Amino acid sequence: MNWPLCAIATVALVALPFVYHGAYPLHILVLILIWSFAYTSWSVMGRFGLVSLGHGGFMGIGAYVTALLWNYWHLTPWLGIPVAMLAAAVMALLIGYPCFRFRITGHYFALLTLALSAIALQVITATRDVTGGSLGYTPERWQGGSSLYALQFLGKETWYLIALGVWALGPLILWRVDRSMLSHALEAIAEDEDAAAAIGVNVTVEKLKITVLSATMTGLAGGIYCQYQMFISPDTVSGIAVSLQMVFAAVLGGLYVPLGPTVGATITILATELLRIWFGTGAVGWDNLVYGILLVVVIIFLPQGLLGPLRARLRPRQSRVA
Amino acid sequence: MFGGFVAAFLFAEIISVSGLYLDQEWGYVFAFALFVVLMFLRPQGLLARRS
Repeated sequence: MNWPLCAIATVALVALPFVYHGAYPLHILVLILIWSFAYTSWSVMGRFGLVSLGHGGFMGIGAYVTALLWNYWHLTPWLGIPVAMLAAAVMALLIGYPCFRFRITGHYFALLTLALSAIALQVITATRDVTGGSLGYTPERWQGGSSLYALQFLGKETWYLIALGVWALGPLILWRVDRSMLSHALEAIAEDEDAAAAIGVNVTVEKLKITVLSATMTGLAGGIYCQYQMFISPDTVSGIAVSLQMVFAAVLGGLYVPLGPTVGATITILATELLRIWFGTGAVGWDNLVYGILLVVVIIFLPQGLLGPLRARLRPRQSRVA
Repeated sequence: MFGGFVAAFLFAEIISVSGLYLDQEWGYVFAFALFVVLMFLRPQGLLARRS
């Protein structure tokens, strides 16, 4: 890792809201940072061949549990978000354990998690008396607008710094996972489950560990998104569309590069915003068309994502320097 | 092909009958839940024979 470059980038990113106060660009940056963290959460397990389409469910659990605990029991999001993360982790355990125990992998695993995502969306919509259903849900505003206790802030600058901190956790966790025994075990499992089991890897436990970690991170992303937007609806934080959005962006940026999901989030969110500004309501859904075309082009010509070839070009140079 | 017909009929019935007594969305929840359970119990499919 290039530490001086990282230090300069960190200082520049932290200093940004102090020198630039444009509300709309900061809003877009906050969204990019939060979604980048969510996409990184998906890639934590996706890079080991565990293609989950249920992360929309985990994100929905994170967002709705945080909002419901605040509105009904006035539980501060400082506790509500950890509870939401725990709920997402429990859900991951409930779906993950039988999947891995019964050796459900590949397409079957993707289908099962897709069903989980659909169930989460339908449950949120069906319990409309509590969650507001498809009309969405708004956490109660703290009197005065901003409060550290309620984790509600009117200023975009504060939210930018919070989102930056949360986003930084993503690459940090990826870095830690890559340097752990868990990574070696999961790489072995991805290559050949039977061979991995034969050399002593507990396949079920190792897969569960990474699934629970990924779901917990996604729950955190959901909770932070809810607190920032102060409005959530089933379509924006849960369901199949959100799950697919995570897969698209992570694959687009590069699944095996720590900053790949961030690049994917930047491109997809900026594309959505630019198309919305350029075409207005005359081109509703064009962003999905662009995602589709981008995904097809990237998978055909850049199967390792946009950052994959860059990483491959830098690697030999770094090893020559070493 | 017959298995596909049976599964489609079963799912449609679950969704429709649930809609009679509860909100329509619960029908989808039950149908997807059944799918999840069946994936664990009979991953080869409802009518498929073990090879």
